[in-house]
Parts: sequence; C-alpha cells; structure tokens
Amino acid sequence: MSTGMLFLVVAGVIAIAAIVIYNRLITLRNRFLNGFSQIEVQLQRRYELIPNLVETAKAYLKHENETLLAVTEARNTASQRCAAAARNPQDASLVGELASAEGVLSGAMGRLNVVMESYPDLKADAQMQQLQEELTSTENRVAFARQAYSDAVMQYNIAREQFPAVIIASACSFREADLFEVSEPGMKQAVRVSFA
Amino acid sequence: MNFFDQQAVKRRQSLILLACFILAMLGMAVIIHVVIAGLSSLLERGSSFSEPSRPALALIGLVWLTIIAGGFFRYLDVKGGGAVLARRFGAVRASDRSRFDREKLLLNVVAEVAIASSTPQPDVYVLRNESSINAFVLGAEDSRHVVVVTQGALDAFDRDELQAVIAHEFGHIRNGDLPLNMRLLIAMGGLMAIDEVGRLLVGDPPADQEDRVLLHPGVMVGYLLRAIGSIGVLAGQLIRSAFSRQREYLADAVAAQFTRHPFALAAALDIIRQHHDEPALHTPHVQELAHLCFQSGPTLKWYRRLLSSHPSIQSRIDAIDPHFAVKLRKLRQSQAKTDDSSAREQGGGRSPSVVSAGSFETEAASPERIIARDVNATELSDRVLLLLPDEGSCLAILFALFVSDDAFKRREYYSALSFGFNERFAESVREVVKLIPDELRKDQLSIIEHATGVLRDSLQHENRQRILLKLEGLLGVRGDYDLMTYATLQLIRRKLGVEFPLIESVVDERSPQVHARRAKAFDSMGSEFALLLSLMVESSGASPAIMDAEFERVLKCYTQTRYPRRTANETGIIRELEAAFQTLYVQPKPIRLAFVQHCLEIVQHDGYVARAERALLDLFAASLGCEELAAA
Repeated sequence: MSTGMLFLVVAGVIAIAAIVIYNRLITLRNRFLNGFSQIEVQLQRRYELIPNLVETAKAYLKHENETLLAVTEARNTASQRCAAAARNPQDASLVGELASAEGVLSGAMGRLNVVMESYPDLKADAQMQQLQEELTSTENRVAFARQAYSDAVMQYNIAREQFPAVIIASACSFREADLFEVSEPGMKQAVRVSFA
Repeated sequence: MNFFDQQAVKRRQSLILLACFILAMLGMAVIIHVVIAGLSSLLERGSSFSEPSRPALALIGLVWLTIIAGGFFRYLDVKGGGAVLARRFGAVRASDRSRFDREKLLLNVVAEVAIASSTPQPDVYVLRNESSINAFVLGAEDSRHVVVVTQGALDAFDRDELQAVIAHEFGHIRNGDLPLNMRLLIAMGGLMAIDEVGRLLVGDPPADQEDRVLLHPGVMVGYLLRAIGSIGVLAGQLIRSAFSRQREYLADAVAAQFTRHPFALAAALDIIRQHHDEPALHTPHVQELAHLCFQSGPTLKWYRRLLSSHPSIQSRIDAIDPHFAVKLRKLRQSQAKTDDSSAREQGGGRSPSVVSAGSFETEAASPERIIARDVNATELSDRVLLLLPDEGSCLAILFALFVSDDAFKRREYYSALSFGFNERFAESVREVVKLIPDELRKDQLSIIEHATGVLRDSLQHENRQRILLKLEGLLGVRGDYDLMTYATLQLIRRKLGVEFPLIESVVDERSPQVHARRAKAFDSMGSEFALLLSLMVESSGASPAIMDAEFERVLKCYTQTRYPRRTANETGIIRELEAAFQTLYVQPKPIRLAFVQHCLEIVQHDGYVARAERALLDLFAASLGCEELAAA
C-alpha cells in the first residue's frame, strides 16, 4: 500500500469520527434546548396562573396591597426575561437572568402565602383551593422539567469538553450551556403553597 | 446491560412464557384424563389409563378451545390498546371537572410525573367502584399507555404518595415491562377463561339460601366448570411466579429517581399495609391483573408468598428507605407538636391552667422527650452538687468515674492514684465513691458535663492536657480498657477542649498530598464501617439474633460485601477502632456527617436511646469531627 493510500485512509477515518462527534453534539444540544422549552412552557403556565391568584386574593386581602403588587411586578419581570431567554436559550447570561428573576418571584410568592395564612376565609374559598392545586402542580412540573434540563445540560457539557470533541466544539462554536440554577441559597427553597 | 442484552432477555422471557403456557395446557389435559379414567374405573367400566377415553378427549378439546378462545379475545383487547383494556376492566376516563377534584389532582400528578420521566403523557382511567388501594398501567407496545388508579387509592393517598405510586407505574413503562406484562395478561386471560364462563353460569351467590335456582342444571354445570377452571387459575399463578419479582424493586427504584422523594413511596406502601384487610382488588379480574398492580395485597402465609406476584411490602419499604420507621415517627411527633401549638393558638382565650395542662399531657405522651430526659438528665441532685464546690473535688469525681467494681482492680487503681498524685487525692476519690455510688453509675453524663465545665473555666489548657494524659496512663495501667471506658474518656477529652492526639498526628504530620492519597474509595472502607456499625448495633443491648439482623440491614447501606459482626469484647478492638477513626477522619466531611446521621437513626430506630448508645454516638461524632450532630 502506498503512502498516499495510507494517508487517504487515515484522513477518511478522521473525517468519519469528526462527523460522528459533530452529530452527537447536535443531538445533545437539541435535547437540552428541548429541555429548556419544557421549562419555559411550564413557567408560562405559572405566569398565567399568578394573575388569577392575585385577582382572587384581592377580594380578601384589601390591606395587603404591597405584597400583591410585589408579586405582580416580580411576575412581569420574570415573564419578560423568560420570553427573552426563550428566544435565545443558548445564551447562558439570559438564562442566568431568568433564574434570578424566578428567585425573586418565588420569594414574593412565599411572602404572599405567609400573608394568606392569616385569612381563613381566603383559604376556604373554593376557587382559591383550585388555583392553589394548579399552582402546586405547576411548581412540581417546573421542578421536574428543571431536573430533566439539568441532566441534559450535564450530558451536553460533558460531551462537549471531552478530548476529541472539544476541538470540534470550539471550531463549530458549541457554547457551554448553563444550568438553570438559583444562586442565592435562600431562593432555592420551594414556594410553600399548601394550606395544610 | 446494553440494548442487545435487554432484547435477548426479553425474547427469552417470551419463550419461557410460551413454554409455560403450553405446559399448563398439557397439564390440564393430563389432569382431566386422570380424573375421568379414575372415575370410570371406580364405576367399573374398565377403562385404561394409558389411552384417553372419548369423553375425556371431548372435554380436553373443549377446555383447550375455551383457553385459546379466551386468550384470543384478550389478545384482541390488548391489540385494541390500553383504553379498550381499561374499559374492559370497568375503568372510566378521569374527569377534570371540578366535581371530581381528586381526579383532577390525579391528572395533574400524572402530567408532572410524565415530565419527570420524559415519557409521553398517558391516558388516565379510574376504577370508581373500587375501594381497594391499587394502580396499574396497561398498553401494548406501540399504542398509548393507560394508567389506571382505583378510587380507594385516590381517597387514601395524599399528593406526594399518589405521585410516588404513579412514578412507580411510570417506572414499569420506562423499564420496558409492559410488553411482557401484556403477554402475561393474554396467557392469564386464556387460563382463566373457563373459570370466567363458570362464574357467569353460577351468577352472583343468592342472598336467600332457600333459593331453588341453586339446583338449576345450568348452575350445576357452572360449578363443574369452575372446578375445572380452578386448575387453570393455579396454573396461571404458577406461571406468574416464574417471572421475576425484581421488576417491582426496579420500578420502585426508578420511581424514587423520578420524584427524588423515596419517603413518600414508603409511606404509600405503609398505608397499604395498614389496610391489610382489603384485598388487592375487588374485581373478578383480580387474578388476571395481579401481576400488573402496584401491590398484590399483604400476604402472610408462606405458600401464598411463593405464588405472590410482588415482594412483601416490608422488604420493599426496606429497599426504598431502610430508616422509614424512624422518619415516620419523627414526622408524626413534629405534626403532633404543630397540632398542639396551633390548638394553643386557637385557645388563646382559655384560662392558662387549661393550656398548661394540655401541654403537660403532650409532653408526657411524646416518647422522644422521655428519652431525652432519661439520657441526659442535666439536673444533678443536690447531694452531688454539694460535693462539687471547687476544681479539686471536680477532679476527684472525674477520676472516681473510672473506679472498678472489682475489689482487686479497685485497690490497684487507688494505689496508682496515690502514686501518681498524692495520698490525699486518692483518699478524696475513695470518699466520693463511698458517698455517691449510684449517681456515679447513673448520672455519668451530667457529672461529666458539670465537672468539666468547672475545670475548663479554672484550669489552663496545658494543665487540662496533663490531667488527661495522667488519666489515660492510669487506665492503661488498669488493663481493662474496654469500649465504654474509652468512650467516656473521649467524652471527657472533648468536654475539656483537649484535641485528639491520634487525629492530630494524622493531620499534622502529613502534607495535604498524603492526605488526598489516604482518602479511600468508598467501597474499600467496608471493614471500617462494619466495625463501627457493629459496635453501634451492639450497644442497643438487644438479643444476638435481633442484633445480627439489624447489623445486616444497616451494613447493606454501605457495601455489598459481607462482614462478620464484631463485638466490643474482642481484644485489641480499641486499637482497631482508633485506626478506623483515622481512616474515616480524612474522608470528605459530607460522608462523615451522613455516617453519623445514619448512626443517629440506628440509635433511634427502636424508639429508645440506651445510655451506652448515647455515649457511643457521642464518641463517633467527636472522633469523626461532627460534633454539631451529637449536640442535636
């Protein structure tokens, strides 16, 4: 076998390996992007539920305007950031901003729940109970979607940083994905929505 | 296991199922033939056992036809998809109207778990007339899956438990158990078909015993068919038991992975255990569905357990969460406390005497508080307190703690004391022992607490260290350096604020690199864990059989390898213990914390904390650098 043939064979093997790695990265990237869209769907659902909750609570919480206002504001900010991040989910900084806005919203919701604790009539309201159940479910879905997203991001990042893949990743601008994480420890606590 | 292995396993299982099915049919034929031949020989018609008679052949043909027809109908159902099957078993689609708020909740929970497991959303059906607690999942390979939940489960479980049960069913979907389960269902449908026809003919048992319908020929044939069909039921149960119950454990594990909340799953199983008088399902299809269900009912008899489609509930709970019992008890206590406090809040207008009486009752009823009072009773009796006015007497009482019951050893100890210090000190120790012999044994912890408190304030660090060295030397002289003495000594060391010399040497002498190398793989520390755990278990003071079982249970959390249970009486155990501490002390803190936390759970497992257990726990916590846990 001549050296020319040998060279051709080696080049062919390398090209095939590169294609396989590239395709794998594409698959993993799409998987984590899909994971993010799952979170986004559930977050949207949550943003739609919160105004209903605030409306229902308003009838009972006449003197708690500040708390309600804080929730509404936090919801609007988070909603905008979510839309921005959804347009470009590969941008880690946008995802980080969304995560911090989510943290603020969770804090506001937590305060609202504490306030609502002291209004037994509100707790007994049938519509309120339904909304609470919906909200609990949505919180769970967000959490589970996050779990799936984190797994996908981890897989993608590992695949991206491993040796032969890292060359292709930097050549084809596969950027590092960011975990959807709330940085401040106090914000990691789930919002308590149960009346129990 | 890779994809191809799994495919091979599934193919093999299907073949085994087919073989079992054919064997069961042949077996039924043989039984029918033997029974008929036996009957005719009783009637002296002179038929042979080697060749089936014509009526026997006809009956066998009829039975086989029924089985195949039954299986075929079930096959059509399965082919029709999960929804058709679910309706066949009497389930209706879950409604999201507000009247059925539990079903609305169920729909939500299913949607959540579908996201967690990243499987497509299945249809949800409810058995509204079913008061037993159960759930199962149906569906052929390519059709939409269907999750079926009984009304009893909807009523009995709270949100988290329901989520855990649904996650278990999703576990079956994700593990690929459905195709085999559906094939099993088809086989069962065939084998139970005769029984079903018989049941149709017999009808419901009449309430009125005088009813003439009992003697109706159709009913008689029905009973006959049911008698023959019972062979099929038995064959079905045998087939079912041939398939691994491991799939249930696997689905439980996957459920925990999806929800990250194993406690809820264990709690759900516990609720089922409490409803042990309920059958797994009330429907006549219970035999067909048993292998699909979340649970197969608690079975107490061993022969039933052999044929059971599920592992026992206790072993499942043990596999999910070995310390479920402790956690449940803690949860109930905290709930009782919040109930109590909220009751107090509501009864704010009541007279204070009533309120205090209420709180007293709960205090008496809560076992944990009793334990706490028993173990670290901080109130020293006046008699003891009078003995402890200054550091000299505190020192004496500390040394008095180690005086032996054995007369010879006691004399040796005193002479060593007078040799090491002076005659007067030995005399004062002797006096203390004479004055308060009971307190020295019972209130050890509080005495140490008090005496070391005084000594810490008045003595310099070096002097405290010297005292401790002296004490250690004395005890070495004594020669019966047992585990409890060691634990007490280390407790005093900790309370006096003197560092552990053995661990210091590890930390100081070696550079960080050496450290890192000493951090062992988790699996290779099995013998160390086994040693500590066996001492922990032994300190509970239970009978050897119980201790063996408990030891095996807790060791399973750490390693698969089996280690023998050690006892504190072995020679050289202290040295080994110190070596184990040294090995474990350089491990990452979370591991040490988790281990001490686990020991705490072991100690509380039987609801009573013995003094020895408490002392040992303190020792472990201190020696592993996790004092914050021991304080709690």
